Amino acid sequence: MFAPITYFADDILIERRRFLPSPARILVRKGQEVSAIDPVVENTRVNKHQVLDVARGLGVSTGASHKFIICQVGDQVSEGDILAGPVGLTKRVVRSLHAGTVVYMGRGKVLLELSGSPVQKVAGLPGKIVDLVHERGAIVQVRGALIQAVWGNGKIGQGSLVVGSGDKPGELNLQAVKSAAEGNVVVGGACIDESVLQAAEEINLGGLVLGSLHPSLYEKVMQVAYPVLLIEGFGKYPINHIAGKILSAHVGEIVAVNAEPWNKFSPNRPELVIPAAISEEPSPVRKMELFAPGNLVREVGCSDLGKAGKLVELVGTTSLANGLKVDAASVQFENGELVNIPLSNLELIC
Amino acid sequence: MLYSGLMSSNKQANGPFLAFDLGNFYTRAFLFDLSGEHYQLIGYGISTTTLGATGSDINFGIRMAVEELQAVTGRVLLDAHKNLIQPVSRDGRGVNRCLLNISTGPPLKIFIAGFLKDASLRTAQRMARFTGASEIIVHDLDNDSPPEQVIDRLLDDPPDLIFIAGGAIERAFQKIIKKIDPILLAISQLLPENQIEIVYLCNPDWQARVQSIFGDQISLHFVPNSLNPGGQEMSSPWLDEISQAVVAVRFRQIPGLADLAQWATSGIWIAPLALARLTQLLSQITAKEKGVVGIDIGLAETHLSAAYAGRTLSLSIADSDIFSGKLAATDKQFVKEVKLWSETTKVSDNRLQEYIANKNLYPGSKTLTAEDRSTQTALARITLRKLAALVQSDLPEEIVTENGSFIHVEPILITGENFSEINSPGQACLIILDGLQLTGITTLIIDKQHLAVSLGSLAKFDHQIVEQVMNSNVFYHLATVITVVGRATKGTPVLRVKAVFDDGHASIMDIKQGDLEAIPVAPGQFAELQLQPYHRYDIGMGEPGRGGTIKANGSVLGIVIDARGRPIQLSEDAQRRSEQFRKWLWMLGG
Repeated sequence: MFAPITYFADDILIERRRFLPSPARILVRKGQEVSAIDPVVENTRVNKHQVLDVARGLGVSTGASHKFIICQVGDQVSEGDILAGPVGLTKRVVRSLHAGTVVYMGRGKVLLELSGSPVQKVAGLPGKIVDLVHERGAIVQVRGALIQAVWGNGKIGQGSLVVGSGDKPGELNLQAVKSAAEGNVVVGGACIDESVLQAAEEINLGGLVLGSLHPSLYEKVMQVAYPVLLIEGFGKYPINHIAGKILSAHVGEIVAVNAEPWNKFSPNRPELVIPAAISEEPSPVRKMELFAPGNLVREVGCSDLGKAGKLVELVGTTSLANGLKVDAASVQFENGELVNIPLSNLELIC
Repeated sequence: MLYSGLMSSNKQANGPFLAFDLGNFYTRAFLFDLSGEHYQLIGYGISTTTLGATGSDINFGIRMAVEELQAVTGRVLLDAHKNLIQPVSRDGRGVNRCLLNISTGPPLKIFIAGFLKDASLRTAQRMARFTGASEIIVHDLDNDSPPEQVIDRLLDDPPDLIFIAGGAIERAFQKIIKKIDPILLAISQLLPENQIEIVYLCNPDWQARVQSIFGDQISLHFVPNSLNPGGQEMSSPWLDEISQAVVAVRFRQIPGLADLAQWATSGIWIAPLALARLTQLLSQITAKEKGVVGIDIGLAETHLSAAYAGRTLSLSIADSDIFSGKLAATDKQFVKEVKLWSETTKVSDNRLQEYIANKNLYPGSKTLTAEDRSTQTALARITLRKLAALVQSDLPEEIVTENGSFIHVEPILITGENFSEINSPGQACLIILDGLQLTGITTLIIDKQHLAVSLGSLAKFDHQIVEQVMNSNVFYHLATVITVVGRATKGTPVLRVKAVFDDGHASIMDIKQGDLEAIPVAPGQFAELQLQPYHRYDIGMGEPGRGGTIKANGSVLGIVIDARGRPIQLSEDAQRRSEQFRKWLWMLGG
C-alpha cells in the first residue's frame, strides 16, 4: 500500500511554487533572496470590471461599432477618457466612467478592468528565487528543516522560534505565551484555552505551532492575525516526538510559518520551514513510498494523535477492538508500546 | 436469475474488460471476462490512489492495482514495461477493452445561467446534479443584475463548468443570446489553464449558431433541451456528454490522467453518472412499476441516483458539508443531531466535535473505538437523511412521498467506501432504515466489492454483460424490508404475517406498533408472506389497509418488518435512546 508522506525533516531541499491563478506581475528576479513575507507576485487583476456598451452608447449597430472604438486592449484609461466616437451631428462619444485598463473589445462592447489595490502573494518561505514563470509567479528554493502540518488558519508569518511550556505536559498555557516576545513563533502542544490565542494576538506573536487545537476554538483561530499550524489535528494532542525534537533543535532561529490551507490536490500544504543546512547532503525528496518495516510513521485519524514510532511489521488483515477488519502494521512507539494500527491510520515520516 | 430480460445478445461484447475506479482514497481494477457462457467478475486489485499526500501521479496507484489483479487472477495484463496489453495478444495476455471511472478530484463548481421561469433552467439544475458538483450557483438572466456583477463573480472564483439553459424555441434562443455577453466577456479573460467547459442546453439544430457565437476557442458540450419539463427524462446521450464535460475538467486537475486515457480507450466516465446508468438499467430489468435507488456513500461525498420507469435522477452531497471543522465547532444543532443518532451515550460533545473535525482532516482513516464507530454510523444516518430531504422535490411522487420517504422503490443498492466499514449486517440495515426512513416493501442490496460504478460504465457497452455479472452473486442481498405505517398507540397489533417457507413449514407473527422484527429466511431459500394489516395501516400494497401475498427471496437478515413509525421517534432521554438502538440492533442480529 502506498503511504501518505509527511515531512518532519531536519535537512531537505524545499522548493515551492508561488503562483497566482490569474495574470500576475512578478515582483522578484531570478537569484534574488527573499524572506517568507516578501511579496513575489501580485495580481494585476482586481476582479472589478465595467462593461461599456459602445454600440448602444453611440447609437450604431454592433457590427459597425468597432470602427468607432479608439482605444486598444491594454490601454490604461482615466475617468472621463473617450473610448469611442465621436459619431453623428451631436458627436456622441462613450467615455470611461472609472480609471482602469481595457482588457477586451468586441461584440459592440469594451470591457474595462478597474484600477485597485493588487493582491500580492508572499514567498511563504525564506530562500532563493530559482525560476520565474511568465505572468504566473516564482519558484522559491531553500535548504533546511521542514515540518509539515495538517491544518493552517490561512496566514503567513515568521519569527524567532521558542518552545512554550506549561504546567501540564503537552498543553500550551497562557503563561507560556505571555513569556514570549513580540514576533516570536511559539511551539506548543494542545491549545484548549481561548485566552491563549487572545494573549498571542496582544503580544503580536509571529505564529503558533501547535500539536492540536480544541475544535470549539475554530472561529477564534480563524480571526487571529498571526499564522497557526496544527501538526496533528483537532483535540488535545501533543506534537509527536519526532517533529518535537527537530523543533527543539532550532530554538532561537528564524522560522517561516505558512499556514495556508491544505489543498489535497496540490503539493502545497501548511508547513514550517527553518533555513539551515546541517549536513553535507540534504535528505532526498520522496514522492512515492510503500509501507515497510523500519519506516518511521505517525498515527493519524480521529483519535490517538500525536504519536510516532517505527513500523516493525506488516501484520496483514487484523481485527480491531470495534470489530472492524483492516490491513494493519505493528508499530513500536517511543515508550516501547507495540500496537497494531490500520495502515489507513498511518503516515510515513520522511 | 435475479436480473434478466433486457437483451438476449449483444454483438459489442468483446471481453475481457478491465474497469478502473479511481477514488479519492483507493484505486480499484476490476477484470470481467467470460466464464463458460457468461461474463463474471474474474477478480480485482486495489491500491491507494496516488494523489495529494500519497503521490503526484495516479498511474502509480493504477499500476499497483493491476499488479495486484494479476497476482490474484494469475492473468498477465501488463507487458515488461508495465504498460497494459490491449487488445488481447495471441497467447491470451491483456484485455480487449479498458474503461475508467473517476470519483476523485477537487470539489466541482458549476455556474448555471438561464431564465428562472423557463423550465430549461430547472432541467439544467437537475443535469448539473448528475456531476456530483459540490457547489451549484444559479444565475437568473431575468434579474437584470449589472453585467459587471456576473463578470466579477465568474473571474473572482471561476467555476469549472457553466451550464447555459438555452431554451427550446427561437424566441428563447434570441433572449438568451442577448443576455450571455457578460459570460463571454468573463471567459475571454481567463487563463488557458482555467478554461471553463460550457454545457449548452438547446435545440440540436442550433449547435452551429451557438458555436459561432462562442468561437472555436471555447469548449462547448451540447445537450438537448427537449426534455420533459418535469426533468426526469434522462437519456444516455446527454449523460455521456455531461460526463465528458466533467472529464475534460478532470484532465486539467488530475496529474497523470492524460496518460491513463491512453489505456482507457473504451471510455472515461464520472462515477455519479456511471451509478446513474446502473440504476437506470436496474430500473429497466427489475419491476418496472417500482423505482430503483442507488447510493454511493463515499469517504468524501455521497451520491444518490434514482430511476423510475427508465427515467433517471441524481443527487450528491459533499461530505465536506458534514465533516467540516467549522461545522463541528460552530453548529451546536448539528452536534445535537449527531448525538441523537448516536447509538451510545458514552460520547461527550467534546469528543464528537473532535471526531468530526478530524474526520475532515483524515477522511480515509478507520475508526478505532466503539464510541467512534457510533459517531460514524450517526453521521452515515444524517448523510442519508440529508439526501432523503433533497430528493423530495426532485423525484416523482410515484416513488417518494411528500415528506421525503421512499415508497415503491425496489431494490435499494448501497455501495461506497464509508459503508464497507460497517461489518454488522444488522447495523447496515438499521442505518439505511433510519437514514432513508423507507416506506412500503423493498429489498436492500449491498455492493461490498464496490462494483456498482464499474458495472454502470460497462452497461454502456452491453446490458447483458452487466446482468450476467450481477447474476453471479456479486452483490450481497441484505434484507427484504416491509415498513408498516399508520396511527396507533405503541404496542397495538398492526400487522399479521403468515410466512410459509419453501420447506413447507409456516409461522404466524403479529407485529405491534413500535416493533422492529426479523423473520429469518436464509439466502437461497424462499418464503411466501401473507400480510394482513390492521387499523388501515399502509404496508405499500397500493392503499392503506390493503394486504396481500408476496414472495421473498432469502437474504442475510431475511424479512425485516419495521413498525417503528414514520418519522422514527427517538426518545429524548439519551439512556433510553441508547437502549432503543441496542434493542433494534439485537432484533437484527447485533
